[in-house]
Amino acid sequence: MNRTIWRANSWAIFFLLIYVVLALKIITFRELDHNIFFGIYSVLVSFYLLSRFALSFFYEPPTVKFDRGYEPTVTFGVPAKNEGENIRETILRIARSDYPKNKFDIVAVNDGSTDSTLAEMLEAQKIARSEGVSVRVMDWKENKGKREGMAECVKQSSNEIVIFIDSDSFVEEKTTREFVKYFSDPSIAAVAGHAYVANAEKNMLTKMQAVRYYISFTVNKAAEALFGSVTCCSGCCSAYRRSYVVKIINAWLHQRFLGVRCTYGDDRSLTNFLLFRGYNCIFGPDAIAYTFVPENFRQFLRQQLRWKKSWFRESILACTFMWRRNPIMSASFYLGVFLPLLAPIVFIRAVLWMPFFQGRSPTFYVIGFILMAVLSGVYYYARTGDKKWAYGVLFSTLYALVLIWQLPYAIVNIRDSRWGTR
Amino acid sequence: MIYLKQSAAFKKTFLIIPIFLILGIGLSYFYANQNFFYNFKPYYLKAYAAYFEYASDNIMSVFRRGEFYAGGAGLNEKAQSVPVLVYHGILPKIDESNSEASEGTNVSIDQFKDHMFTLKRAGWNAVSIEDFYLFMQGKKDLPKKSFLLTFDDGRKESYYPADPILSALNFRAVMFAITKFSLLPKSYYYLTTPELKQMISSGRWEIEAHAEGAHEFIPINENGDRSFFLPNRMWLFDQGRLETMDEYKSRIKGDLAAVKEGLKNTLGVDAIAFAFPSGEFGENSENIPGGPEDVILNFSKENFKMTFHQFGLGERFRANYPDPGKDFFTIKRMGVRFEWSGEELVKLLEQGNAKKLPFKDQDFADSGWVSTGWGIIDFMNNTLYMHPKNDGTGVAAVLDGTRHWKNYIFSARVNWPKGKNVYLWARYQDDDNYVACNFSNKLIHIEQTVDGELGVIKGESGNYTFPEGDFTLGILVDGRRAECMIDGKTVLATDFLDSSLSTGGIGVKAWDPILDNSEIIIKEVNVDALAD
Repeated sequence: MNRTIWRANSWAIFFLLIYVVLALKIITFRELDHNIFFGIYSVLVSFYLLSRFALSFFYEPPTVKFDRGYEPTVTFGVPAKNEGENIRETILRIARSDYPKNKFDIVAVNDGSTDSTLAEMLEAQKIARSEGVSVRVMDWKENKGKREGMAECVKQSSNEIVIFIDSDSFVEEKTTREFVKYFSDPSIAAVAGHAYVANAEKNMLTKMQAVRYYISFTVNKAAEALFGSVTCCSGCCSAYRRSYVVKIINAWLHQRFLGVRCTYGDDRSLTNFLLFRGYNCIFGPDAIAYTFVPENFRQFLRQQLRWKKSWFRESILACTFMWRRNPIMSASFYLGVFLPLLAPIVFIRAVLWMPFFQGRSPTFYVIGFILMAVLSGVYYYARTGDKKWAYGVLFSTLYALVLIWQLPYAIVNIRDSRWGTR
Repeated sequence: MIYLKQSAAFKKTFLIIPIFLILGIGLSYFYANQNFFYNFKPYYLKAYAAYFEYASDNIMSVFRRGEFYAGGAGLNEKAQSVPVLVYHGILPKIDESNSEASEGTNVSIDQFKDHMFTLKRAGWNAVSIEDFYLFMQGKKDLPKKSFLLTFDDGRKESYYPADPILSALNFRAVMFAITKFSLLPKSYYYLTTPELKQMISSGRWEIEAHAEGAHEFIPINENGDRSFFLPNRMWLFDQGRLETMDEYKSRIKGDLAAVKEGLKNTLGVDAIAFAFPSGEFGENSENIPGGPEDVILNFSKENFKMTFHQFGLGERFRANYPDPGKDFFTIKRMGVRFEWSGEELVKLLEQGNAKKLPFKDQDFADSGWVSTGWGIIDFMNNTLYMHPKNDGTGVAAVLDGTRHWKNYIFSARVNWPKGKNVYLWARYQDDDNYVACNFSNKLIHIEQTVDGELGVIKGESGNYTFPEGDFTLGILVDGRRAECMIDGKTVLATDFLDSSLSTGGIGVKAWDPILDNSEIIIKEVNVDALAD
């Protein structure tokens, strides 16, 4: 069948699934014997997930506000450790941005690498300079951590905008313009770029992450961006207004949580500080970067664990001020915090307690879960026409079976500040 | 601050509103039909197809000559009798090799559809139980080919698969519910209170009484053998004895009152009908000498206006005839068998339908002659061939659809190879009420049986010889007069028939004291009306 017809049909399937999900809620509520707590949980979870789709649908930054002719000066910050030859490519891609060469520079921080990173940086510096782009290389003999690296980039910059690019991420030529256009609005402090997975076709795990990334940017971030409240401008590629960052940089750099210095979740934390100040953080769907994701399960789990820890820490902190934001935003934010915390309990009740002690099969829980998983998959397919959509369904399954247990684990080990990276 | 482009926002809102509307309508439809969705089984879809099948049949009939669904002329006639069908579950399919299935009265969805569609095509329509009750009282006329459709036990798998078909064909139905299982908010197998309410509000269904606890078996002796609830005294294990008759009576009384009350209080239904669980009203009691029929019937009468029992094929008249003078406590129902095709079912109903006078029968096979279960009747070579079973002395058959006949001459051209007596029956109402002419070589009697009491009204002894070939026997009934005839000549007459035997149908009986020694072949039957 014709591909376009498939795409059109997939939207029909998408809404049909939504219908089934809602219908299932009516049944679930009945099945729960009107158990108020679990009934409400079940309704709220679906409501929350579906509301993401609806809100993100409405997110479309008003063009009048964002001037395409606006060309502020920009610094690219690239902190790196043991990145090898990737770093040269990263820097050179930035250097070849479609942006006036006199209006941007690059700060590369070698954070105590033990490999050829420094040499690659210097090589990139030489090439970029020949093309008229200024690259400053900071070389630290000892590893200080990513947060220090990012702070150094800000300190070294005298430009209006700082764009952080992960050392394993590549930008497009138009990315810079797509970032800066938003900053003509003075309420905006940060713009989250749209990260695609560079190594998506590598294996099953990266395929799954590719779908996951797409959904979390185009749905979750977009939904938050509707209210200027993106909770995490991800480290792999995000732009910040330097003058606002400077105000909070010391507090951020020396952030402690439960008496322990925070050394992970720097991106989420930085965003949080800005939101706390009342600035807006939005999402730039066309400011695209390609980033490498973990290719083996062990690395993937570690990364997820770090993210879960920082999610928990920053969410708790954000709870103290999110109520000041748009009511829809704050309501969905608090929902978004509490529902995942309850998820393991509900899972245990539905999958273990009810079947083994009450003799009730978890049919509705499982069907509901599968439906939601298929829903994201179909959404991905409808938006992209990409056949990897099935891996999105797989990811949600993985999420239920494995990652759901990471959150309690992360909370218990929240004070363990080891990097646990790569 | 909301990052929303206004022009796009309007466009998107207009795009999303219809989607929300459709979802909302869909959901409220779902909510309203929750019970159906909740209990949905894939094979119910076959029932839903009935709408389309009925519609397409009607469309196709435009292109055919004549009507696809019988209607018009014949339906203007009034019904003389109304048959009652009873179904239980409607299943995806019936495993005919399974003895469980063949004993039960379940049918498959395909069979049920076939039954209902064939009935509809033949012009039959299912009426409400209220209309049926008025009809039985003689207070309301129903069109010919009306029947009452009933379901026993209140199972989900009778309502859900049946309802779409009934709705498509515009049929009514009665559900005899077991209140103990059905008047609950939730059930896996039985219909629940909300479902029964939904059925009532559909206007298609009426809920009547089947049992409170009386659908279950009870222990009837110290061995713990179990049997029917209503006709047996219960064994009380804790006291090591059978309950007394008083205890028995109060248990029966209580159960019948409980059904009635449950339906009243929970559904607001004032039940007029009670269907005996398993069709049992005391005929087969295991431990009550003399039988508990009176007890059961009396308590039934206290609570209900009609009671229904079941009877197997081959038992007298299939349909029910109005009888304002009598009560309605043994209304007959045909337990529909899964072996019957729609055409067979229609044939059975048509055979049971009231026959008009004059009546002539030279074919017999499809007329509705039914054995009383005693002997064997065959329809060989277009005759009605009657003989006893190997271990039997006699045989009897009655003609279904004749219960309403009043004044007539019934004459039969017969061949009588052997046997002591041949009887022609007239004004036959049931096995306990009829008039008979008893012919034998030694005597001719006019007999009547009233409420099971046999009496000879008039008899004549003599030497009568009957031809070896064909000859004609006859019986005339006209008001209280009866005559017996041989070859058209009256040989015996009386004017003193019991006044309760004012109407009734015809039958034939043959008998001989020696086992398997009677035989009669009926070759032609004529019944002509006499002026009232």
